Amino acid sequence: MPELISSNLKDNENRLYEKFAQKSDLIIRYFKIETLNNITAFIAFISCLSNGDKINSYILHPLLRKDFSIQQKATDSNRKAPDIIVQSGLLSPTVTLTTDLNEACNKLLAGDCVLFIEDCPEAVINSIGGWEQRAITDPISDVEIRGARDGFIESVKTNMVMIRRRIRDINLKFESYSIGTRTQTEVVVSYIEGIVDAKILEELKNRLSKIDTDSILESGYLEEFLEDAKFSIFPQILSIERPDNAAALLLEGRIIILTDNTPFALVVPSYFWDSIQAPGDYYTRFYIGSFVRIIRIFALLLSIFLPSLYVMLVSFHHEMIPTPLAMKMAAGREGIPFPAILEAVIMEIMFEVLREAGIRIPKPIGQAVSIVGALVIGESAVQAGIVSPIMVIVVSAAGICSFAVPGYYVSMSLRLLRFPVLFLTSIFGNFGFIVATMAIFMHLVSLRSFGVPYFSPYVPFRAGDVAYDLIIRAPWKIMSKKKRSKTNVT
Amino acid sequence: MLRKYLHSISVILICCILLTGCWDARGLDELALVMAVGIDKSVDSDKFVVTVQIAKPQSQDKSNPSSDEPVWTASAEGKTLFEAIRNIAKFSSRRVMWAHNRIIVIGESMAKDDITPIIDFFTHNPELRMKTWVAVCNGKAREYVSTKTGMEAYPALSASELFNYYELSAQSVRTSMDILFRDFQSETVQPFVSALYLEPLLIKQNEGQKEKGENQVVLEGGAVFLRTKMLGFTTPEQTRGLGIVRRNISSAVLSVPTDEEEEEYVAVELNSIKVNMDSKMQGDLPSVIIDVSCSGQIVEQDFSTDLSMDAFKKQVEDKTAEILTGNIQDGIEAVQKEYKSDVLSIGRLIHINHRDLWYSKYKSNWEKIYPNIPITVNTTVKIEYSSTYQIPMNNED
Repeated sequence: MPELISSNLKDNENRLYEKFAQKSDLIIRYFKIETLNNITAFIAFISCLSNGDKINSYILHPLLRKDFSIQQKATDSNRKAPDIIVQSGLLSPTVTLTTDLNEACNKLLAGDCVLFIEDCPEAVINSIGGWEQRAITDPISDVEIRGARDGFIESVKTNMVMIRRRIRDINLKFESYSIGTRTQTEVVVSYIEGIVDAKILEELKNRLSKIDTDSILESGYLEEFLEDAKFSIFPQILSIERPDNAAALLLEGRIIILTDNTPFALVVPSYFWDSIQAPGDYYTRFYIGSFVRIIRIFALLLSIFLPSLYVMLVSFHHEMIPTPLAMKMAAGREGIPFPAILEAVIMEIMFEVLREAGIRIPKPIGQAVSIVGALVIGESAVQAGIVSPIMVIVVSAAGICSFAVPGYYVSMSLRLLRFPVLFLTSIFGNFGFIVATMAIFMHLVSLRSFGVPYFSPYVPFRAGDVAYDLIIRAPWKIMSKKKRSKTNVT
Repeated sequence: MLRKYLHSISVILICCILLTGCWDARGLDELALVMAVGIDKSVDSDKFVVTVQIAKPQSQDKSNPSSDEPVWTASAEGKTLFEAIRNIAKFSSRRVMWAHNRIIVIGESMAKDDITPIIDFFTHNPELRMKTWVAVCNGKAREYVSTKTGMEAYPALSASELFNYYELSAQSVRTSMDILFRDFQSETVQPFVSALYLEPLLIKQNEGQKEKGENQVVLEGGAVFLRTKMLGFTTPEQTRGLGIVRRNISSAVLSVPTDEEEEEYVAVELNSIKVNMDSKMQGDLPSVIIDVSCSGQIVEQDFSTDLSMDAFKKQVEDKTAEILTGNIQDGIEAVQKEYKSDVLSIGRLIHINHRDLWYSKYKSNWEKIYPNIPITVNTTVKIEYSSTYQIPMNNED
């Protein structure tokens, strides 16, 4: 519902103060434009959100200088004052006119400076927002040895710049939305026209328009609103922190969703395999890239199944263990007061506690806690005969394996899955293990991310993609021809 | 969403419960892992005596090294094998578990009596593997199972490892439960089982001066069966011959005398011994020809010779063939004439080659015909090269 701007300057001022409460950070400064018939005007802005230097040099300075060129045009009475000011008075690069006070207020909140002029029902919006923001630093959750060192930051504008700098293509589009009735968070959908699948883009826009919430504070909010299967344990939308990764994914035909105030961008559509692929694979030699992917798949499987496998062997299928290993396992289990499953659960929980504590603990004491934790849980528990040494190996190996998976949130989901598999296995042995595994895979192959099968290109099978860029990272010379087809099959 | 999968989930869950035969969890530490089992028949009471060697896993705690024995050996009696094994539970604190059993030792008394109960029990029990080694021992199986032998932590492991290296000396055969079971069931082959001996071979460090060491289990020779009973043992040389013909031994090392008077020997290593058996009708009786061919090399020669290489090779080839033929003929002599047991599957050969005659004439009274069948052995040995490429040490001066 637009609220029209009054021609009366005082009235506008009062209404603005009303909206922003009297003693707010809203600043209103009156002045006279001598060069333009001594007309009265004021600029409104929010302190700190707008850049004071820019206000000075772009707005106040040109308007208040007596020798300024508007003078000649002032006589031309056919033209309205705002037009003259916009055309030849202001130096700000982005200037728009509005008649709606609400829009003016929104722009104020976004850091813009709004110019109101006497006897004029229009306001001039100068986009000169500039507030303190974090410097561009290493991405924290997405570390690579080789590759760009910049990570996304909290400003969506800066993030757009980082992508734009990498892809200098006019087909790279950014579409801005503001979502959240209260937060009015800027959400930017970026894609490369011509590569992107139009149907997926349409679906995404459709889903974005349907979001009904008062706040989007982090892209995680958005992720949940956009997902296909909201109750699935697997994240069907990848979140990334690296602009180089974002650019690579854009070139694959994916859509990147940037959200203001968070360094995490979303990738649509996403595949399960994204979690074992890291941007660094493409930067290192392809032997290494392929090798680490194989290692990651191995780690991923171990991180879910290793504890269950151990419990299964120890409490059901003793005949499956090679004899010398069985002897070692039995020796370790000798005198342990808990059944293997309880032992596993205790260790798993302790491991999760340690991991969680590791994130929360202030850095200076973090090291001390991790050493104590490792010592207490590993060494002492074994010495005291509460846990078997092999169980310590199994649990810590599974834990370390889960950190080798690049997609941190996929690996978290997998860690959660470890428990149901463990429980089923401890009740039904191998049978439970297989049923749990089947259930996981059934779920995985049935998932879709924006209509694209989550487990593709493996299920449904697309030989080209599986051969060139799934487990094997083919040399670029071969891959660059093949890679573009990735999202074109739904 | 959930309702959609409700059917499939419930079917899976029901399958979980119904399809598993026995799913009860048993901790590895609640089980007594049998490593070796020995079965005797006690002569006076006509009961089975089962001796089991059970592994006692050692705690890894380095600060408190336990001086305990790594194994716990016990025996129990019973009228049936099953009862005897169940009787172990009367004093064993853990449930006996057979899946890791490495070797079944059949006592001489038991083997001479009847091995049917053993075959029956050990092939029916799902925990037991058909790949477990089987051997007949001289004397009581109980002693073999309780002897500390070999280098491994568990004596049974040492004993079972012997079966992996039997071909180095080629003086024994190896039998696992499935081979014994196959021969036992067969109409045309008789079982031929590995044999074990106890020999005082182990020298303890501080008792080095003692005349005799401690007993070790030795895998040597074979036991000849006729249907359910053991008839007797064969010597190592006979066993070598029989093992070759049974295609159980495919390599061997022989000490070949080149000059019997001066006792000069060369060691010959034979590889890829191939056996071809054929039969011909000669009048009423079939005659069997066994062709053995093998290649080998001279691996040791500790004397000097004036002969040229070719002549020397020829000499060694002939001598080796002679020894090999001798071993085989000795073996055949023993099983055919002495024990009258068809361990070489001559019957099967006749069955295949002369099917009609087999059914009309031989099958019914094969045991009477078999000892009279002429068997010829032809051996060809080819010394491909000498691995002693250099001149033997003694030739150097």
